[in-house]
Amino acid sequence: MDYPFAYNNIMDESFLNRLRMLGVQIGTDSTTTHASPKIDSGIPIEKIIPGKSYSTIFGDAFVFEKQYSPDYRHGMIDFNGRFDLTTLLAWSRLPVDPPIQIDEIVFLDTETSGLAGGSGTLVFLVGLGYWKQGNYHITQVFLRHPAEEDAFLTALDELITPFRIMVTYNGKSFDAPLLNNRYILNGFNNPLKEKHHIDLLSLTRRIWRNRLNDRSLGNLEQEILGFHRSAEEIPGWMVPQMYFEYLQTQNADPMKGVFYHNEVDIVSLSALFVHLANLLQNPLEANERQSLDWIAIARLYEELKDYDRAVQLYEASLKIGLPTHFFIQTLYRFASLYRRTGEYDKALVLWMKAVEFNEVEACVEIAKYYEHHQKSHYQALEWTETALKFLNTLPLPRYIKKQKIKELEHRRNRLLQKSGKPHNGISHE
Amino acid sequence: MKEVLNFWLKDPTIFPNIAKVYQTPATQGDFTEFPRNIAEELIKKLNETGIFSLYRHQAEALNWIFQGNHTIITTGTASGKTLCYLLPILQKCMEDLAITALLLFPTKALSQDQYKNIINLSPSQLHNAIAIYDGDTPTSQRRMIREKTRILITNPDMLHTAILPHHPMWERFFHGLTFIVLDEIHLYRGVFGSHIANLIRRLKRISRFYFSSPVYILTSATVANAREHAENLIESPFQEVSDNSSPRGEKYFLLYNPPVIHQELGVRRSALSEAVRLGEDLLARGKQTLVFAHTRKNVEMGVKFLQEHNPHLANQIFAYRSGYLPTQRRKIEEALKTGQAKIVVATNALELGIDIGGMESVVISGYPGSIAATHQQAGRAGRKKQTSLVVLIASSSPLDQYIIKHPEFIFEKAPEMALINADNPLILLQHLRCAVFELPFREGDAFGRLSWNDIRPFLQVLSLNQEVFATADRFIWRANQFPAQMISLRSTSGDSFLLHVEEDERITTIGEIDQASIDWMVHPGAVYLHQGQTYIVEELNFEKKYARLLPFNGDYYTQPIMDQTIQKITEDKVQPMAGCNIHFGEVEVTRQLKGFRKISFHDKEILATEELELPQRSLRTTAYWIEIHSQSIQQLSDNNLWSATPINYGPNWQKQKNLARQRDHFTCQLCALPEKGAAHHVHHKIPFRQFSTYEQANRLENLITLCPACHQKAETVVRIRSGLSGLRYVLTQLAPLYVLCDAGDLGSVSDSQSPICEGNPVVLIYDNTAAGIGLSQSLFERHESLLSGALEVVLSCSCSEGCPSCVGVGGENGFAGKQETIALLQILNGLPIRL
Repeated sequence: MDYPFAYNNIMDESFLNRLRMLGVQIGTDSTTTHASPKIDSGIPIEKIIPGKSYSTIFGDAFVFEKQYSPDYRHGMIDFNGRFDLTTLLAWSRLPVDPPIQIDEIVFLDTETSGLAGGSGTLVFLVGLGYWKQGNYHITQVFLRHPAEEDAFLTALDELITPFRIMVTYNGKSFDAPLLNNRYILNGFNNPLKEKHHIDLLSLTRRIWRNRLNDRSLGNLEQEILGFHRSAEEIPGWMVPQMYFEYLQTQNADPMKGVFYHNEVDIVSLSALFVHLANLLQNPLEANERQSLDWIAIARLYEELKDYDRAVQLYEASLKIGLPTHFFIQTLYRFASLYRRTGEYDKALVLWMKAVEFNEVEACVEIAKYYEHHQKSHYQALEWTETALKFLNTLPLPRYIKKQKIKELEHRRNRLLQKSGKPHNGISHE
Repeated sequence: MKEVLNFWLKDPTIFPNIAKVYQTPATQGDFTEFPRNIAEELIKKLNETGIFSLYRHQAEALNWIFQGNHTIITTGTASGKTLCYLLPILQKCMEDLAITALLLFPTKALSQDQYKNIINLSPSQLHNAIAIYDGDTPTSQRRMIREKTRILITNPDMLHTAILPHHPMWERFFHGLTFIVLDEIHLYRGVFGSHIANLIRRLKRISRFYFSSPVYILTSATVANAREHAENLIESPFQEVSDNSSPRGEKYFLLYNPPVIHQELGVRRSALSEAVRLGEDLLARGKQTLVFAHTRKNVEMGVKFLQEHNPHLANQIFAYRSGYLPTQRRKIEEALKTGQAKIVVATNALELGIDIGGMESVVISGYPGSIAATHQQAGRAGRKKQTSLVVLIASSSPLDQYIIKHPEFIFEKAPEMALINADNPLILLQHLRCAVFELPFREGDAFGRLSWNDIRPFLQVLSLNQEVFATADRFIWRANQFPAQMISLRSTSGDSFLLHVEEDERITTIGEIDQASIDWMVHPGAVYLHQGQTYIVEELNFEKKYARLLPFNGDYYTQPIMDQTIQKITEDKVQPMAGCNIHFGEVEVTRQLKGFRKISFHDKEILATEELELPQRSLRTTAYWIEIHSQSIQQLSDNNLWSATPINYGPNWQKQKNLARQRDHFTCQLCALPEKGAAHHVHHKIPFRQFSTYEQANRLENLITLCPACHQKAETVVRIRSGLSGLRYVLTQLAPLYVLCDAGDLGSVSDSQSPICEGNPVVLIYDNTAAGIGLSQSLFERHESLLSGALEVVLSCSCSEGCPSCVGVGGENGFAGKQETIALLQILNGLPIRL
């Protein structure tokens, strides 16, 4: 089959007409067929952002650096560089040895030409935040032009070399794979692969699941950090379009807002990290009267096998109070913590508390306790009866209720046998 | 099995219907040892599954593949094609831990089936390295598959939307990519195939980026041009392995033509009822049988009949069709394998390679539309040692009747070609979007066999549309979109209409339909069939792109009335042939749905005709047209077999014509369209020829002003008489015998005074896809065999005045012009007129 149509020149109107006749829309509302980038009238990025050239073996990249004053506060967060990272790093399951210094951590956030991901999405701005000798810095690497990508990626590689740990927000599913794409597409090794990657999204999800519906960085910034952005801010969804407009017109003016947006993202990410580190280290002080946060952190302590601190938090939470649902949930968790550590008497107190809420499961736990630990079949039988009584008052679906009654009656009958009492005579129908 | 056959040959109600019996003797098979480079472990594993040697054709395939040749295997159903590609893959995967292979199957069901098959044949240490990656793969497993899998089973749609656009996540896989398998490539034809060819162009770019140059291994059912088709899809030279050397039992293939029940119309007893009758005979003798039916409705009807007639065997009778849940299907497949299912009535959903074991007999109710499909369905019958039976029951359609008369088409050489047009500009443009997204284009880059100069204008168009960004040396993707998600591999225009059904105040979407088909299928008032259910179209919303359907229980169906005009855009080829010139080029077809007829289900009578006002649509596409020479027309006129010759209307014609137009206010008296630029036509209400003088014929009372479209309608009867429309009918019906396509893939027009050939009579066949996919071009190239086939069909048809099996049933007066068509076909075949 020979190729039936020769298309050699874009100016060939018949080619364009042919496509139009086939239903292809050519040109957009904002362009005419002969629009060309007006490079002369453009404002270069250097005039907008006081950055400098960063030279690499692949040519120059554009880098902007900024140091924050030692007394900077981001919302309610102090940036003085004195934080205890122990618990946060333990949660991250990082190797403890050699101990990690704050100077080894880099905070990273990217701006991209598309939000859908995939290999056609460019990363054009990478913001890095870090503490150096107690002072907070940011560095932004900017892709002035796609042809500069080799230099851009090399600069980024060199700039993050000193750091062992990379912290992002949702970076595991967004920023890291996109940067990985860029390195692979340009034939480089991906330097990010060497870093330990902490994605704060999963931690914030755990801690604020009960309290905040919107756990986006922007919302945490306002709700948790108490920071509010200036008028320079532009919304993230506009960023891709603005970058392409810049490429088209070479007018960098709108990039100012993008740099601001990226910078605040980085600083807020760093602040969130600091806040989380404090919170995990010292929840009762860092987050006063937020018992919902405390119980979430207590669970985290349990996972880290730090039972003492978990106990402390559960106690404090029950003391200042919780919404009923969480209160009962906490009684159970707390009790099972004691059960695990063998402190049954303490667990018993908590289950008894739950009984005040007509909790069937609590009765069952108490019955088990009397049966197995006190060897008191009589008491166990009493609590099983109470459980059955509670169960009958619960508005449960019939089949579930039936199943539970069956289980309890099985327990009751076993206890009756053990205690030597006759089967009949007691009925709960 | 021979007992059934003897029984039929003695039954006077069956024997006369058997048009042909083909017997294929049993063959022992041609075996050979495993090649020496195959690892011990692999051979041990094969021995465990009962394989102790290879067929010669398998060894031949292995040889080509190990030498690094792209290879296409066309050895037919149950010839062990899986092993042909699997053995080299397994062997190489064991030799080198970095090697990977990509296996593409056309459907998810086939992937599942092949996965099981492949696991069975593979040594256990490779089992963890084999995985399916498709829409059903849980997100939690995907990462693991990307990082670890070495033999990846997927489908083209998944490669298109999920793998290629994210290729860096598959870096390891692409680095090691050594084999690519495409199974059942005869399915990759037409629009779908043209998409696949472009998908391969993208796959090749990505492979090259990771420095791999994989060997392609393809399999196909029998088509005339399997190797050429492979080479068109992959754009590389191929070796072909086509001689089946596997052992086969004796096989009888019967061509069965149901008796004629309406001589005038040439209507025969329905293929389905004959299939049920033969199926029952087989069932009664305990022969496991698969009955293929065309539609889902026929499947259900067939099963209903069988169960009613054989209530004691009802639990051994099953239906199998798309629309059933996968679990139901697996159950039936299993029942077939175990022998619990004795008879299964199925649509072509069971034609693809799903493993159900060999049947004792297969009954095909109605020619499946292509020889490739016939072979696939017939291939379901056959066991290594037993005798098996296939019965192909013809319907009344011209194609079926042609096959009955030409069994050699099935048994000797398949004439159908699988065609694609990878350079269809619309399809190409869509894939260039995806390709730019995947990797920037740099100056000088090629795309498949297209050079930089070929693709650059397309990239520039994308640049004008701000979808790509042109820098000094490359084009990069710039839209904030993911192009693959907006492109369906199974249609040309991304736009399709959703079918909403409103029932009990709830709206459900039951499917979608291509933009090109909406006028035909879902115009307002249309009766639409979907999964055996009948719906009526309440509303067609062009803005929101949906059709709203309501369940419908009426006793009629609808047939659209379409106006078509043709405009010639380019003429690429002209060739003088017997009695005509044939042309190939580009045309613009303007179609407008004028209304529709309601036709009774029972007696096919027209109940009503309704008018519609829908927008005109135009389609730019490629076409092949036959321009009848004026000498040919003269010849026909001399024999009184042509009545559409321009007539000398007499000296007062111009004057009377203008008077008529003036009287009618220069407005069409049928559709009220005023003249714009060109003068309308003036039509003789009673044909000119019926008058003895021109003065009488040209009286104003006998004249009426009509627009060209309405005039064409008014002239229908006359045009039919010319034999031209009979020619159009038979050519369109027969074309699928030469090019693999579905009924809707071609459109056609006939015109006794065609403006595209200076008023000469023309029959034109066009690709019903914007910009064409090569069907009409292939017909142009095969004009002579198409025309000789057409003459045979019409000559050998036993009807008296035209029927659906030859030239159609004609216009509203029922006069089809069979004699005229035969005469015309004789001239076009270079033969003297002989009636």
